[in-house]
Amino acid sequence: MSLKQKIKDTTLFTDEDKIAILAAVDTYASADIKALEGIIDEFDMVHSKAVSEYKKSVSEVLHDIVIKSSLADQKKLQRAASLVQSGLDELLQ
Amino acid sequence: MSEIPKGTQFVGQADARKLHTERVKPAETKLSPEQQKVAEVMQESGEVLEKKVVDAREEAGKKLQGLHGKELVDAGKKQMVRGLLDTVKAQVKWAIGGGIIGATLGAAGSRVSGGDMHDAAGLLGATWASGSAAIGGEVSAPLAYNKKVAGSQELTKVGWSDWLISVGSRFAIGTPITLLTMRYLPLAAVQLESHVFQAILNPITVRGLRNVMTGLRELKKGVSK
Repeated sequence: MSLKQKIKDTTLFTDEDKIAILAAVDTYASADIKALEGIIDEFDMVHSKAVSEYKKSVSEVLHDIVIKSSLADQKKLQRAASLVQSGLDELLQ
Repeated sequence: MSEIPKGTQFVGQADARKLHTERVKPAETKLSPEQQKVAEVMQESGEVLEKKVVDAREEAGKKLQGLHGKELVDAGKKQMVRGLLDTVKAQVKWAIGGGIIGATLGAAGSRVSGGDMHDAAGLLGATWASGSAAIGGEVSAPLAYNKKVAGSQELTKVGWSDWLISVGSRFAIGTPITLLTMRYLPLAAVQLESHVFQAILNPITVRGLRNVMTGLRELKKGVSK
């Protein structure tokens, strides 16, 4: 992925920052460009890992509830679990 | 016709003398064991997530400030503030996910059959409370922002009710507080409010919260007695 695309996709910067950085990025020295890319990569990796871990924890407890429920309840609980998970996906996108 | 004693409450009539919280029977607001488990995990893991993201943001902010390029240095300086903003945003989310939801779900599940309208009301209440806690709410996030976000082709559609809540709550909550904010609060507070309200009042977030709330409520309804 190109640096410009990384700048657009990252949650590190605000929209205003992204516009300013994208407009100026071609004027940066190569050392700064490399460092910027490293900073974005590192932040995005930590962010994505932390979000995944959060979702995993919630998914595990929901899954546990569904499998430990009676057969009669499982369908309804699975639907409830899916709703919670899809909601979290949207909140944490 | 005999005279009706003053203060008599008729069947189906709301008792306006009591607060809403008093009118809900305690048993109805109790979380089921399943809801309790999920709420606890959401709260605990949410705090861990929040800390990791804020730490990573601060770390990145320091490094950005060491680079050349005014935009990068400015973005770096903002990270410390954004750390705070994200904390507020995260607290709003986790409070709704793990706490406020718990207080509203039991009553909602047993008293309202449809759900969506109560979700809307609950969400507005929660939004109001959290927004106020985060220094009120200058609702400057314009409609154009929502159109840009929700209208993007990569995103799935949001329901009309999500739009209604998003836009309606901006006007209802925003206008008076904006006036107060402009009158009494410093610029930093305005920026904080703006960020929080952009985050929690865009229709995607509203829909996400609605799904979490509905799912948690159905978790209780889904278990046979």
